[in-house]
Amino acid sequence: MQETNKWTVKDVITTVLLSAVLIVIQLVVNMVCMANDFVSMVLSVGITMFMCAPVYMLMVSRIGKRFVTLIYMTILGVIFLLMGNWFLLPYYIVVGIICEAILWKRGSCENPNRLTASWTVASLLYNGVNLLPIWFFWDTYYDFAISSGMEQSYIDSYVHYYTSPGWLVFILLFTALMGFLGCLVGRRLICKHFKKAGVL
Amino acid sequence: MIELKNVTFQYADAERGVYDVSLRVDKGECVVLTGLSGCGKTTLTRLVNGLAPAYYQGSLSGEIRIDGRDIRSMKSWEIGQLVGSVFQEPKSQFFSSEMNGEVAFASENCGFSGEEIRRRTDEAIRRLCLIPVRDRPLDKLSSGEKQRTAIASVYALRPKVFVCDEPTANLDEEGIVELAQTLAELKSAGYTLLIAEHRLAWLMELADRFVYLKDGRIIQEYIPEAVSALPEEERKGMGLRRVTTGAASLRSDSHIKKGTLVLQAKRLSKRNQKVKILDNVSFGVQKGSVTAITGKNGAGKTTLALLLSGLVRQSGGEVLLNERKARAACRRKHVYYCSNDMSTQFFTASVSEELLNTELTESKLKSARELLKRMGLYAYKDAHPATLSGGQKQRLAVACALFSGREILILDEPTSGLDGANMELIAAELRAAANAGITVIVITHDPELIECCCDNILEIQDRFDTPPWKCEIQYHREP
Amino acid sequence: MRAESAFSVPVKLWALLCVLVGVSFGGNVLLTCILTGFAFVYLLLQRNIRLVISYGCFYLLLALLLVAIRYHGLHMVVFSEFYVLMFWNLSAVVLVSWDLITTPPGELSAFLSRIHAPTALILGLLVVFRFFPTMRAELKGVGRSMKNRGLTAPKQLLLHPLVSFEYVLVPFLLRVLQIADQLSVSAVARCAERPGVRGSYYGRKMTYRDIAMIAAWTVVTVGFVFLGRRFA
Repeated sequence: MQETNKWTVKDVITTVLLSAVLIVIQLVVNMVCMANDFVSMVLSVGITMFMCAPVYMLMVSRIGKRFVTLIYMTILGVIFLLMGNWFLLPYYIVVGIICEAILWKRGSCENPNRLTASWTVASLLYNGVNLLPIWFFWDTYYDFAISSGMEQSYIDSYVHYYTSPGWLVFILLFTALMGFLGCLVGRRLICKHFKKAGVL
Repeated sequence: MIELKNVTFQYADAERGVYDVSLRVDKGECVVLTGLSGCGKTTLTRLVNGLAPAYYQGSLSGEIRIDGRDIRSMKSWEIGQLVGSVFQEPKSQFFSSEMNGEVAFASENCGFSGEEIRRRTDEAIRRLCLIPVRDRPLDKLSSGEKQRTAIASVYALRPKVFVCDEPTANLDEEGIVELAQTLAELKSAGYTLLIAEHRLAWLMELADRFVYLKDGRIIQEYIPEAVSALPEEERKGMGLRRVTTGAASLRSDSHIKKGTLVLQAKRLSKRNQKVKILDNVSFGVQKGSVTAITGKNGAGKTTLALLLSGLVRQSGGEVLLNERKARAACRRKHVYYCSNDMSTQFFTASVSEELLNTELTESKLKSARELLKRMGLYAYKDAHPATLSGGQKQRLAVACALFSGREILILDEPTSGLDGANMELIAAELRAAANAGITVIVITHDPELIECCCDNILEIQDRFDTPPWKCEIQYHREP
Repeated sequence: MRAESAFSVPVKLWALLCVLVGVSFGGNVLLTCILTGFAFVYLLLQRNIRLVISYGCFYLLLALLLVAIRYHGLHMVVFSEFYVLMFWNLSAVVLVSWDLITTPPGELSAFLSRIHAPTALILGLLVVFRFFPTMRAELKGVGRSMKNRGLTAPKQLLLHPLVSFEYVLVPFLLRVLQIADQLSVSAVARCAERPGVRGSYYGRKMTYRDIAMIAAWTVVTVGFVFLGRRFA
């Protein structure tokens, strides 16, 4: 890989295409999981982070320059903006900055440990995609639910996954763990295939 | 116009390159670079259009001048306005889904005013005879029209030189004729052409000189008459394709064995959403024969192959295997389909694993070893399939088909873009497989392949411009 | 023709900003139907009939569900009531965004080059639009190859999910990288690395119609926010 830090046309196109792959995987899995509350709130983020980990590691290793993660997170945030949850854009930019900080040191892009750390942190923070909209929208929904005559307990049960500390800790740990495991798979795939194929 | 003096270039990550090449192309000339795969012709085209060493890194020494200017002092976009590049696969280079956007792409990059861009784009579309298909989405164009669109896009910049790297690799006969005409017009308008090619037949009228390369060095330059005059043995020894055009004829010593029809299609039809692609197709294939399926690009050959191999279900009609009706799942067990898209065919991390997968018995290992040796891939047995060159990938795909042990093989364009030597290798393997009782069906445009190994030709003719193709299967020899 | 009745890109961007502001600062959730209604009008003016009909049916379904939840105590089994309400609320944004995304890429790149966006950004945008049909075809190709080799048997997929994941992901990613490379070569050979402003084939001037629509969106959004505050 080149030593220069300047982004070439190839870098831009590769980032955009691989980010698109990541985003499509995330959106599709999210949509499929929406059918069931438990799966969608507790498991879906973990599953997507696991599946996306190898793609992410490939993307960052391939381009080998700074700001790849930030660009990916920004594109992700813009997609959520277009779906109406505009507050996810600044949130993901911050997540991107945090990941860039982890990968800031020169040569981090080839270091699998740093990549794993970055993605695991991203997985942990990715839970914002479920938490933030509920947080933002909660008052409005609450008013509506109460005036519809729903019982308090019923309303609370919807968010009990996010309000009871036990579940919250489980969700955060689960997603971080899945992100981490995904990176292990990613490492194996990189050594077995991508390095051998000469793309890295 | 183009001057290379003692140019040596070696890729940063590979052993290949060109060594001490000196070449001179005058304005308005058409020079063809040819030779075996890996001889360096693509590298030379990359040196002329500046992609090497700017994009494909490596070490360069020597002098390269285009129109008197030293290419090393020019930036990539300055070179781009001087040298227009045409590549093998137009569809993987399109940035737009419609013609205006694609043809305007290069002009837009150069930052001309809107009016200037529109003028150049309209002129390019007109000049390349694309006005009739201007409003069609690019994905719906024929391969010849796609290639012309790619040429139009660089034509809009009025480069002095056109560099083409195997431009006919994905074209059918009609597309090749169109391309030859287009390039002839460009040449007569004063543009300089540098073409790297395997297929020589279509270039005999167009080329002023043929340059034969081997292992990165220029061995010999020929004028077209000299190439035509080459004795067959010598031409084959050089690995070149034939130089005469003409319809494919079958092998004179081919014979059809009387026997059961191992595969039969009865009133097969396939509808894809609103469009009926195939309608009422019926034919039969003899066991142990090699049959070619030919037809224009887009005539439904691939769809037919997918139907026969059970990867796609038919909308009507049936397929019989050994005279018994076979459903898609059953067909998949007996028929192996080798697609013409090399990039999505390989799943493992080494060539030998690709063949053997999990079967590691001694006899399988032995036959795999022998097959790889015959295909010239034994040296790469531990290499990742993605590192193989295009020709090697095609040989590996054919090897996987042969090794699968299924009794019917359908190969989709196995020799597109291969040089003469590799084509004969594959033809010999297919012939050997057929003699051993395997039935082979080949979808191909390659008349030389048909001549080398086919017993029979099924031609899908479309009498109209749009589907459904009223397929007329024309046997050239009745079974 | 549809292209002629469409609004220019600045209008679409302004409309998006308006709906985002409206949805975020409006007080009453149910009243967002005003914004959504205007979004339908906006689409009809651009002759986007198909979207109006298809999303209109979905919106009607949401309305019925909300009525059922509100007045008849319906409890949802599959989807949560939360999502029904959220979709209702965000419908205006979805409509406007979808209209923006389905603008012909030529026009979007024309707009970007007019505001002097860097060429790399414009190329990235163009590539995304080409991405989806290409990727679908490639995935299908990988699936087909797997089917041919017998790697898609249900037993295989269930017992060895990781290996199957590898079989799909690796060739697909290699192909994505290959396509990225081919596109880059094609771009570089056609002067994409040239610094400076990019030109554009399409050029669209703002018409009175566009300006009127900008004004209309502003009025509707401000009106909606005030109304919402009154009824909050």
